Amino acid sequence: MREEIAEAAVEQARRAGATYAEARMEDSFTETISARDGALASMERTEDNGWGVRVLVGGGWGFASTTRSDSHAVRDLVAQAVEIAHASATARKSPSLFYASDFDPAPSSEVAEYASLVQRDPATVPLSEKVALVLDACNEASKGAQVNTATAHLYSRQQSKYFVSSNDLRLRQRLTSTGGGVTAHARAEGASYRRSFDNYHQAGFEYVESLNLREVAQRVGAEAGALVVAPWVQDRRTTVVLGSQMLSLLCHESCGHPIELDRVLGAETAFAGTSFLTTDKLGGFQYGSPQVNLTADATLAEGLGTFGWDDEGVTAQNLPIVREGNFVGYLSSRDTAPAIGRSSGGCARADGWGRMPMVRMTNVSLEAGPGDTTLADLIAQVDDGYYLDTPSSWSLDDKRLNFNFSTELCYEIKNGKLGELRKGASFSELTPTFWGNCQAVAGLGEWQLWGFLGCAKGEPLQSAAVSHGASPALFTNLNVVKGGK
Amino acid sequence: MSLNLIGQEQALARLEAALKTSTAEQTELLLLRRSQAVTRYAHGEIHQNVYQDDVQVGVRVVVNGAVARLTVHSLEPDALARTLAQAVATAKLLQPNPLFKSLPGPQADSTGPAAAPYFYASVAGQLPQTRADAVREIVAAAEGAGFASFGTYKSTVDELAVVNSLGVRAYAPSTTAYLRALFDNGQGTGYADALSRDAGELDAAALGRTAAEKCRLNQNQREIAPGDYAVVLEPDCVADMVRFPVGWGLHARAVQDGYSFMIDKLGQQVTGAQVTLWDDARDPRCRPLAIDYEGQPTQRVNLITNGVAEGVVYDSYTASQEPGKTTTGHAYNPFEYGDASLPANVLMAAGEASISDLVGHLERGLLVTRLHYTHCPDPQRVVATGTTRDGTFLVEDGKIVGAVRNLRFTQSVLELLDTVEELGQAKLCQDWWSQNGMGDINYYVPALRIGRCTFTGVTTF
Repeated sequence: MREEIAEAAVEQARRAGATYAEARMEDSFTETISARDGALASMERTEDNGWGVRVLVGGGWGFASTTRSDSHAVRDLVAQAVEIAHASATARKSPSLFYASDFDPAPSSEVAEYASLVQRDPATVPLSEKVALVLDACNEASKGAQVNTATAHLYSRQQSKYFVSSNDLRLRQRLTSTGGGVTAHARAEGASYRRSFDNYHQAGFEYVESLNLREVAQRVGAEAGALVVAPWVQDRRTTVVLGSQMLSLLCHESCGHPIELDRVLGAETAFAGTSFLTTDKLGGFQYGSPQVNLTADATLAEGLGTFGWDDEGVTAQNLPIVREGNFVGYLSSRDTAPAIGRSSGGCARADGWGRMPMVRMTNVSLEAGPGDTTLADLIAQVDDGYYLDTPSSWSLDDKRLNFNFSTELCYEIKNGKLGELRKGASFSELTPTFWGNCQAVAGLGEWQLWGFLGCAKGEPLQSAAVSHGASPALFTNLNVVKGGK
Repeated sequence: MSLNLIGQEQALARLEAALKTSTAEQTELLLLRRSQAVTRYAHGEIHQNVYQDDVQVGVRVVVNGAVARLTVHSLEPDALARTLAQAVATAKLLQPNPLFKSLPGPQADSTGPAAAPYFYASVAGQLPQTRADAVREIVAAAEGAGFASFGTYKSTVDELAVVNSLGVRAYAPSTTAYLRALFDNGQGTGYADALSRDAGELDAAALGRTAAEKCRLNQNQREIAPGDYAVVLEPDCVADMVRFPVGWGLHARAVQDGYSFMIDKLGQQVTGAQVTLWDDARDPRCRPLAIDYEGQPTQRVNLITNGVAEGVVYDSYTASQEPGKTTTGHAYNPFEYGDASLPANVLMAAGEASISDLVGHLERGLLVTRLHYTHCPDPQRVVATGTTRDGTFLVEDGKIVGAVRNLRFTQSVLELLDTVEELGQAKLCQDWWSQNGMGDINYYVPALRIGRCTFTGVTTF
């Protein structure tokens, strides 16, 4: 019945004069279980059902969405989308490039399907098992010296989508993601410090089990207690080894956002800004050192940005972004890719039924270095420097050029070995300078995938789930300072 | 948007009908119906134009001391009954939360003044063409000046209703309109925005003039060295700075979790004496609303008075964790942000000086018009970092002498507010995060002339 609503909406839009129409029906179920200071603090479940229709009429775009599924819903919503499209057309000077993009796969009345690989459906896991797991993690984190407050949480989300377009494309997808995390706030001598861990994959509950949250919580609690009484980091320009989790956020902020082609073309200027990676740099700009290879892979196993088709119906792709330091590719959609003479990269994603698709990250990752170099091997190459991991704050300018990150974890490196803990490390740099100073990336054995649930972009805000993988890497000449003045 | 409201009678009737079927010890139903139209333009063309009509009902139940919250995107009786039954069944499987005491009870005045200035037909009845016409007016202003134009017109209608088994019955409809314009000629940008409960208050032509004027001024930028500068911060920047003590310190959870700068500081000087900061969601100069997301009447809370730490805000849960405390009506939107209390209508004592006056009193320093993507590397010291954008100007002998390239600042906000030298006129605005949907904090804050702000880096544009 619900899929019939989407079919009817596209047909109604055709009759109303739409040169293109697509409808997307989405049902999702999200569960978050949280513990705080040894007690179950919240148990939240959200059931979210709705649908939206996007139309191109008279050269203008309109999108409307609703939770309604009554007998008049199709008529009312399509009329609303068409009215919006007509208004858009009055402030439009050039045709959308949407039709210059290739359509794929071949239209068919058959419904193509994609589903996440799930070994243990989170919906079938007894609540008592989840609660025991989250309480145990919280209690273990609380045991850290000086820990004032500890929290733990488990997360799961199941999302079903049905997409139909006026060029007879029909797609059904079922995506499942799970994960969890732990946070400890330690307090001592009038100071406080936060240490945390969280990660999420597109997978079933087997991924939560693989996190070993009990051991993670013990480490987080212990490190919080050690960090709160640790000396502050000493300001200096030095060599650093960055951990996989820290680098995953650097992939996100300093690569993933500036390669969004809609942003490059100005669609986000008033909010998120533009990009230093202007189209004239494509194929001829040294983004990083020859050790730096970055890829946007929507086919990556367990990535939160992995799918069968994007929300314009384009097949998931594995796109090269940076090859041996040279900038070679963007994230793109049907209405942006033609601006650089390419076909859509299949990166148009929508945050649920109430949002229109726009260019989003998929899984933008730093590829592992050659060979079997380990984190310990990288540290062994440093006489005097720092090992930094886990982001605690991040800030970039509106072209994604000048950035500042701070980290929860900082160890001194002395004579090739980890030394004392330090707290409050922060560093600023220009993006190409930073990646240009990358001297080595550890091998595949150290490569880890990190899931982010809330990548923000667009108005109204769209929150995308994305993943980034990285191995630890060694950077020279980074200015590390105490976080703030 | 020609919207049919659910209305107070119908909203409360639906929620109360569901409430009557609950077998839980305590039950709360929270309705947020949000209808939002957003028109975006880039390079002088509308490129995105969307509408969403969403209904969310959060059901919170307490069974044997265990608390569960389930949310459903429907107001249909069957969906509410099913969700309520599932919430009770879920809570029965949970262990009690010894820290949870009770849902809040009813308080007088939870629907606010009868003629509350919260809801305007100029938003609720707005047509897509009205927004397109405003965009065209701005685009024309930009093109007349030789600039490309970018921006957003966002119109929102909310209906918030809360009932609970302790007798809370509250309903508050509200509207919000937000319009912004950014002009760019490839060498520099200029920005202007306006926020109001009433779309009739938004003046597209005036925004176009301001954005054009700033863009004209923001040309031939030169690079200046990082370092300490005296600054004039426009209200948008002050909102971005004040967001840090608000978000990381001036609410009870931050104190109870042990990371707030307010810990052990009540009654002590935490900023310069020029700074007086309070939260008041009833003040029409801000973005007023009579109730919070637990249906509690919103109250004024003095946060910092003449530089002295005075208080933080509470919801019912955080209030129950401290002896003698009651909720101050600051439960934040749980659908978006989880269980939290936060000052969401922050006012700061202002003066009479215009921005020109403040600049005129600056011997040498910078006029900063807007900040971007600020964050907090050190919550306890309330350190903020971010970059300037859309117009940063060098001032010498009280006059703007030229535009400068964007800078990164890294600065304790408490120390920044320690050197406030002059208060300017105030404006209703939001911080960068809230402007862009990553929060919902509103500010009525002045422009400030400040003795010292530390800039730690430069950008190349």
